[in-house]
Amino acid sequence: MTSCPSPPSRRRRSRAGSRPTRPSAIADDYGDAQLDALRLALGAVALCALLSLGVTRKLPSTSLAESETDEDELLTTHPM
Amino acid sequence: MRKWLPMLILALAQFVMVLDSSVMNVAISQIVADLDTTIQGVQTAITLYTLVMAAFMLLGAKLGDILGRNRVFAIGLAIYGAGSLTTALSPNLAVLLIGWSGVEGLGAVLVVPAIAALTAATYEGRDRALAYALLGGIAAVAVAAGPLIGGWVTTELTWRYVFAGETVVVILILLARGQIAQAPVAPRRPQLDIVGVALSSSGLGLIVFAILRSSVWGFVQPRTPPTIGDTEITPLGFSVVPFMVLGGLALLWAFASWERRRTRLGQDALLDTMLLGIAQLRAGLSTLVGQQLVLMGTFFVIPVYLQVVLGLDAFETGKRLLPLSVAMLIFALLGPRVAAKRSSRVVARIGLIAVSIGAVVMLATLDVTLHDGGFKVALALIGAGAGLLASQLGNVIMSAVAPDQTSEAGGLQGTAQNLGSSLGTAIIGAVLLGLAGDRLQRRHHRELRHPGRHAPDDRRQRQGGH
Repeated sequence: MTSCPSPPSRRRRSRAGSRPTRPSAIADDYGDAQLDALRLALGAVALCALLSLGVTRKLPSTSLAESETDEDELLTTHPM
Repeated sequence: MRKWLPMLILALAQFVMVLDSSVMNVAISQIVADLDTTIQGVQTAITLYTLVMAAFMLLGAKLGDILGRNRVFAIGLAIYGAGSLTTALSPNLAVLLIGWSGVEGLGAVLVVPAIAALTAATYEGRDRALAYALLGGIAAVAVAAGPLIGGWVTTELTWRYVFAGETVVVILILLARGQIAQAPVAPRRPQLDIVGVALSSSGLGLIVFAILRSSVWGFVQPRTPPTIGDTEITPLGFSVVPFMVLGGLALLWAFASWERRRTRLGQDALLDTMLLGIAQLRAGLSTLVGQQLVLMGTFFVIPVYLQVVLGLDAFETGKRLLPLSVAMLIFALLGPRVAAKRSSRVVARIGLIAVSIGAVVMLATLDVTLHDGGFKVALALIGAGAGLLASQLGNVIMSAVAPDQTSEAGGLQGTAQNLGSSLGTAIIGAVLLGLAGDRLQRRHHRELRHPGRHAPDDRRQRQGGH
């Protein structure tokens, strides 16, 4: 990823009276861009976690204690 | 305590399997220097390892039914140990590819389903729930501990010691494996479905390979497409990735049709497709894909922030991740207690919401300087959520099937883990790497339109003089 200004861009900026781009400005821009991208990536993680809630519908909805009680009752009423 | 000795042995095997991959990621630069190769070469080894696991996990599970789960566990460990030793001694990339990607990968596809099946054979009821919670927690901790262990050994000694250490651990597990209960053996040894193996491995391999390459080739729009000679491969102007995924899905559809045909004719199938009709199993596998996607995405982003933005080394990164590892283990062990009173569904949902909140908290704390308190809170939330998730899904999946189908369910579980991990790294990686470039370009275009509006000195002052 390069950011070498083309001659027309450089002429536009000098006509506007702006300061020329310095290497530290490029480094700052890249650092900010990295942080923005990291924040968006974490946002994507949060969104994926919330979307995954949709596939949990068919996970067991009874507690382990309730399922063990149901199994015991089944064995009592229908012994092997 | 003696009751839990088999579980400790199986958990140790699980730990070694998972630690292996996360250490390799940390040690890349030292391996490149040691083997006189390139980063792309080592990344090829990582890709191949993932592909071997994805393609042959179902085969590994079926071999458990054919040869017996205890025997396959032992054979797989022996192969894995041989691969670790080869990796530790490798003089060049070619030997690393054979030892790590090939031999270790094949050992892992035998061991991973066997761990799940042997746990089901050894424990029942609440003990089984706790056993799978421990396995899930250990696996999650191994992912987070990889940078710490791998970083320290790589920095202070050499990466080779990690793989040599794995060889020693594998030998100890093999010596102690008699403590594990004998899983029931099928009265008739099933036959191996070779066509099913070819179809499933090529379908799964193609899909996972496309996902792994998507960050380079592009998800839909081509970025750096593959070339044949000088010709770029961009079918209809799109990236080749969606076509590979469609091709993989077509192969899997053919696999499913073939398996149903074999079952109808009374022949042995690689995978009983009726298993996928069990709602609880499907839900467990889908949630597992989601869990791995979210976790691997998180473990992709956090090290980038710590190492690239803050400039920490691998060992320091591992130390910073400790709150996450500790929280994961604690909540993985707490998960069954909550599930005993509520349900697996409630625990899994709490876990996903905790991960989501943790990711948002971390997003809010990200800056050029580390906000220690907020960062630790975020890590603890993510770790707690991951631990709760990891504590449930193994038991949900394995308890959904009959005892003689636990090997196949173990293979499906391993496949789902692999798929979720690949998707997590690819999707979140694409968001991260793609957006960094786009944002930078947009900033430069804004600078050209409004020159001097955001001078670098002004920006530093806004950030508090850093």
